[in-house]
Amino acid sequence: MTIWHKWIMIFVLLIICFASIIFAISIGAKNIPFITVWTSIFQYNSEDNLHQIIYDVRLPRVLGAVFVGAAFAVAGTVIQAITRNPLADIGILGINGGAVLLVTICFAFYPAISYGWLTFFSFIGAALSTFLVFSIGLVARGNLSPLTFTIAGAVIAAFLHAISSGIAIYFDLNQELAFWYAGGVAGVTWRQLPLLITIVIVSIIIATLLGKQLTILSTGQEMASSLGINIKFLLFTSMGVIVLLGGVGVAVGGSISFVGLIIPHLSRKFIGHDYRWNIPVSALLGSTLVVIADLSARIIFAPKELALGILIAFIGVPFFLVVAKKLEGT
Amino acid sequence: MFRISAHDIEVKYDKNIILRDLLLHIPDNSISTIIGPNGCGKSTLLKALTKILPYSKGQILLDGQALTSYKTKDLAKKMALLPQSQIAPSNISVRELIAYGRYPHQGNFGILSSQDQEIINWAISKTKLNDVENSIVDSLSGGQRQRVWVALALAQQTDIIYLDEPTTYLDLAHQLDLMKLLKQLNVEENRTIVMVLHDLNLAARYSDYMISMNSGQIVKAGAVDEVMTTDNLKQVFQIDAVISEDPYTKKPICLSYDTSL
Repeated sequence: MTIWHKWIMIFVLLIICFASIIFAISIGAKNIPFITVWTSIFQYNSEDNLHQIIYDVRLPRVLGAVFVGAAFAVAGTVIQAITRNPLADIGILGINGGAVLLVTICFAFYPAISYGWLTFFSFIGAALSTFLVFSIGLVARGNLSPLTFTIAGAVIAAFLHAISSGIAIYFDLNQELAFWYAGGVAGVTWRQLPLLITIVIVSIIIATLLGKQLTILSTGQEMASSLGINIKFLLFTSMGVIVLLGGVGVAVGGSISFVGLIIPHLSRKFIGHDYRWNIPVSALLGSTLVVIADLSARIIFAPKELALGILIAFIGVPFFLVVAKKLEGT
Repeated sequence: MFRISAHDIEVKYDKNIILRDLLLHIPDNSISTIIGPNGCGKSTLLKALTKILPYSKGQILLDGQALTSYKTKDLAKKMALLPQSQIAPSNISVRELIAYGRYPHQGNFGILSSQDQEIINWAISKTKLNDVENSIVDSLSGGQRQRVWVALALAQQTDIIYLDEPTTYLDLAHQLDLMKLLKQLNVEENRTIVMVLHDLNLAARYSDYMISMNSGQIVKAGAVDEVMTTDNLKQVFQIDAVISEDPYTKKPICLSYDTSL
């Protein structure tokens, strides 16, 4: 694949992503013409009823989907790169487990907690559990082998999950939790977006800059080290990126980390093993998938809404299977 | 002279001491081979010399400076390592993989210059991979694949090349081809080559300097005919070896051996 093919691929994916955004804004309980969507963004008129719907309801939700999708996809790509495990996702760093535990504690002790604080605490939970996995991995073996992390992550995740379940049963919280756990970007407001967008964009830029090093890491740690890659620095920075992306993704979108499992595969099939290209492509694919899934969640059984996580599984799995089959051996 | 030397180093893996009080000088512009039984610390020594494993005591010097004071990337401009096992990313072409060898000389984002391309071409033709340069690495035979990794190390353009058992998986002719290539690099371009080999006769045939190890220490290091002796091999491998002279190369050769009691 030449460099031009790759640029064309990026361009096409960008157009598809943009088109899905426009669609998602325009379709809903009230269908809005594309042209109105366009003018509402570039010539916002606060008197216009449709413009208000777009600005207050649909745009924040769609932007939430775009950046949550990109966050999970890139977090998944980076974690698969550093663990060299194609089945890894952010779950193995205990990110979900930590977020769920703090959210459960919040529901148990402060049932009236606002959505904003819930987001904040789930991010803290994600960061704390990753830190825990990281420290255990380091203390146990004194080195940073991917296997150590995978094991430490699995153990911590199971442990946190057990505590969460215990609290949930004791305080009878299963309904609230199930709703939160199913994930979704329905509640995203303008207040959360600046932070979400900043974190996601900065992290993706850092991840892309690490792209060459991550690519070389796929030859193994010893080989990469002898090619001049500072393995410790690379792993630490990558971990930081994963915590930021995974944490903010779980906090805003709930547990839809399945995105982070399948998108890296699709991205590899589309553009190959070079992470300088792989990471931006993952971001675009992740955004598109979550935007389309969220749109489907709203419209399939309107006015009822389906859980986003379920839709992602329904859209993602068949698509994943088809692409994997089609591109096999190429 | 000795650009590379280790002074009373100790290397631990978890809590086990693998190398202790090891003293070593690698002669410049020569081929040095480390031999020894399984688990004697050969690979560990190679990893310590390439800064992949840290040492807990002593000092390793490279060009008069402590190895630990080098940045990883600066080190990669001076020395290349072919580890025992390598992983080729799936669907990568021979040329793309060899291009990784240019990474230490590039900016962080890894854009290849025309000079990089020339060096890659040179590495490809040195290792006779011209016919397969656009093939997928996974589709190559074991011998070709090993040559790709050697080419990658060559593309790194370092004065010093370390190789950990580079002849594993190669048939007799390919083993010899690889050794001849290393000899050529050593003679024509003054590269210092340090490798671990299991095959004593191959080691004796191509080395200028041999280092025999046992239990994390050096038993004897020196010229080939000093190390390839019945006494020394008994001490290192616990074998009774019959040492003769190779009619082709006039080097010592281990004709036969038995495990000693």
